[in-house]
Amino acid sequence: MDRVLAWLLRLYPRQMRRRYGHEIATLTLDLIRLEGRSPVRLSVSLALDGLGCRIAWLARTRVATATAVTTTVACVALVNMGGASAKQAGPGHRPATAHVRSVRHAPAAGRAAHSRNRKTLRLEGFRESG
Amino acid sequence: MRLPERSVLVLTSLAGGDRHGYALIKDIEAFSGVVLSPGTLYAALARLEEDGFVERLDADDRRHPYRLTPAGRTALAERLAESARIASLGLRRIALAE
Repeated sequence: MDRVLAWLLRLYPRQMRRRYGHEIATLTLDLIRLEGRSPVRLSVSLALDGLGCRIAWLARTRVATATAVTTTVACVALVNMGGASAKQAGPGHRPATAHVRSVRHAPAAGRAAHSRNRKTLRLEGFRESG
Repeated sequence: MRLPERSVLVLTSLAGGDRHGYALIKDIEAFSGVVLSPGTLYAALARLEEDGFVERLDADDRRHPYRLTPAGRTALAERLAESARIASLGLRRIALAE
């Protein structure tokens, strides 16, 4: 019976099996020994419950994942909307610039092609002036 | 959040004191006539523990007793009050119809 129980418990989600598996097995054996319940019926019931738990667990994780993705998408959309409204604000805003050193470690030929060591890149983002 | 029926049975049993799995099954069977299987019972306990409505105590002879938490007591009281209100309304309507 122990082997059958061990196999049936594999139908349960891992987290649940780790935390409650031993107790489920003990209770099942108690019901067989003390109550004279049918091992076959209990086994079938354990299998069905295990599959039910797994499906419920999957559904819950899917819902959690879907919620996380939706929240992220909503946040990105809000940030983009904020950027667009800043762009429309006009006079109070000016594009941000950043100074970067480029071709510093490039070979001599490459360095000649890029006569200037400093380049100013215009970034696509905007920052509020002042 | 609405508590499922089997969770109400488990919480009602634990409202009478700390119990482990076997004692829970026997108590629930005695007061409601519902025979829970081990898998169903522990699925309910897992959910209730996750929600903070019950807590697992240290093992006593390989069996962990479970205890109702204050949050569980509140949730059970609310759910039973709602059930009592619906039952009362239903009974009044049946009486009026007769």
